[in-house]
Amino acid sequence: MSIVSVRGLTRDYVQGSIVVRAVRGVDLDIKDGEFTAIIGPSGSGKTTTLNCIGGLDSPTSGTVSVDGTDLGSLSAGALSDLRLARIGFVFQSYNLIPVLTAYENAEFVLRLQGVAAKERRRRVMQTLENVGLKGMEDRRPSELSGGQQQRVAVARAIAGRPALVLADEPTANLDSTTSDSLIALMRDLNDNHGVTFVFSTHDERVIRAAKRVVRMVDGEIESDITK
Amino acid sequence: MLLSLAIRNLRRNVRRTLLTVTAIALGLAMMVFVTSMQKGTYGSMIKSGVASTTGHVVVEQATYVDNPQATEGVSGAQAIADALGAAIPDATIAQRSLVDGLLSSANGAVGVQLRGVQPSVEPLVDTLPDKLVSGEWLQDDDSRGVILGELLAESLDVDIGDRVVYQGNHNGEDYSELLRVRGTFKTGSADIDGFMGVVPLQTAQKLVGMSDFANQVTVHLPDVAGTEAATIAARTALGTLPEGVVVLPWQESMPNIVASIEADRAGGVLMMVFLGLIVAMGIVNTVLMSVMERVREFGVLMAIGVRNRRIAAMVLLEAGVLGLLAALLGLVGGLLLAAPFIVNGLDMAALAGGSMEMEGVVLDSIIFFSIDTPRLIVLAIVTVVVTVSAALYPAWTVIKLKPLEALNSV
Repeated sequence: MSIVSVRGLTRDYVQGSIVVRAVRGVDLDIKDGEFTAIIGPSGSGKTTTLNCIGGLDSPTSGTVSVDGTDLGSLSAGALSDLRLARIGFVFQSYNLIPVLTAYENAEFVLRLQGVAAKERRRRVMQTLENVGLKGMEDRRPSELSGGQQQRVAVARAIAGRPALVLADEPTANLDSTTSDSLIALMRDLNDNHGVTFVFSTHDERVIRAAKRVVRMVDGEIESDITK
Repeated sequence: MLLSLAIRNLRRNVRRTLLTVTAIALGLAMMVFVTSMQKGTYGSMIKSGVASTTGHVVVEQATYVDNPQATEGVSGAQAIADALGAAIPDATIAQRSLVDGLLSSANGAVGVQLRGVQPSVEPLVDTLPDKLVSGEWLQDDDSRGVILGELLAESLDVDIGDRVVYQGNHNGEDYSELLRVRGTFKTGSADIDGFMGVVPLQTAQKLVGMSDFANQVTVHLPDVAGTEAATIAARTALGTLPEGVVVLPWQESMPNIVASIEADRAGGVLMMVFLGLIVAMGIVNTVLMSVMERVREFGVLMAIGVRNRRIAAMVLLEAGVLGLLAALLGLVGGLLLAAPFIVNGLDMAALAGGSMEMEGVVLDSIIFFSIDTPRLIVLAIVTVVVTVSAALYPAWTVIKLKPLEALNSV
């Protein structure tokens, strides 16, 4: 079954008096357990597609459904609730909350979801261990390296047990060793814990690790290859 | 969770938080200081007014408040005083009259107002006997004695023991009386020191051709808080009064003082509103700056599923915590500033370069500040409310944020 169903997605941006069409009638389905990379040159529409799937941006036309729910039918508040319950985000520049520790960043979503304290602690500790941050729970983002911060971001994205994790250029700010380690981590979470990942990326290593590669050019899907 | 995050956000930029809290607290401290001074001043006005004019409760003609005539008063004053004394045992009852006329000596003549008092009672209720600068206070049986204001004595060029002659016309009859100067007083008020004298009550009665008569029978209580109960007790004890005679609490018998206090208080409130607005503008600026710096962070919160309203609530909570801290600091700071003047008083006479007179009442030269607890509580609450209100606009900007725009902000 498809977790994500995109039909005829078009997204226009107005820049002054010029209308720029970033995505042109994209159709895309993401199934449970996929590890999909959306690739393409800058301006190809991959990040816009990802943002529309995550409900951060709205299509000019077309529909995006997550878990069978048409995002266009939801209010801003309901969209927030859907993101909280079903979607995890990993950003290029980590975007952790600077005043919270690694533990608290990962715990934040669970608190919002109303998970009981004991269960919260168990899941956060397990998640941090899974991403290789055991023993670093009390460190704030400023006390962690870029790779460690991105691991916290992954922990935050998966701690709430979302249906899928959307990752926008997750390795763009990391060195090759750290990137490899992070890709391995995400692949492990996909293989062994069933977490569905969708990336937008330029990174060859991510592309190599992906089980499915969707190439976009000029706002359209040029190829869609499942390995 | 939001509160914890709000507190941590405030700790993120400690210097800015401290500066903001200090600015708000300073505004509040100033208000606390002014409020304490106002309460002390009003207390002094009431105390002095009550002591020197109408007492806490007065029995007088209803028309006397607006048109004080020497012959307008209460007959059978002694019986009324006795009844009041029995009904309100902890009060001191005084009888007073005011008589206008001309006082002349061998060296000149001055239009004066003579205050008729009971010499043995007046020192118990008024501070005028303490303000003698020469001679001695009057005796009850000294029907010829007069105490003059220092400036009046100078105008008449008379000294202790000299004779002065009173002349007046009341109800169409001319009256004159030979009086002898027993002493002089100085209040610091040119009006009072230059145009007032004090005579025994029976002399004042004689000067208007009446006996057992006083313009006012005044009730002086140990505490102003007992005014309402004493007024009721007085009305009950006196029963049916002669036509035109009324029992009034000081608020009604000294409407000018009450109006003056109300006007001053309103001015104070206006000043506080302006001060509050200035402080609020500062808070708006600070909170807005803090919000603008974190737009991207708010975008992340939105992306992971926090509703805009919760983020706005966090911003308001931050302002609330700021307001609470400032209220606490401002109250403590204001009270510390006021404390020396609560204990030792403030020498207003020295500051004003002479005695302070309001509505014809000479205030104590030393004003003791007083804590106005209910007002301080209101001020503290208003501080928090103003601080949170000032964050409403920044919070509104958060509510309007869109996740992607927020995430893409620099």
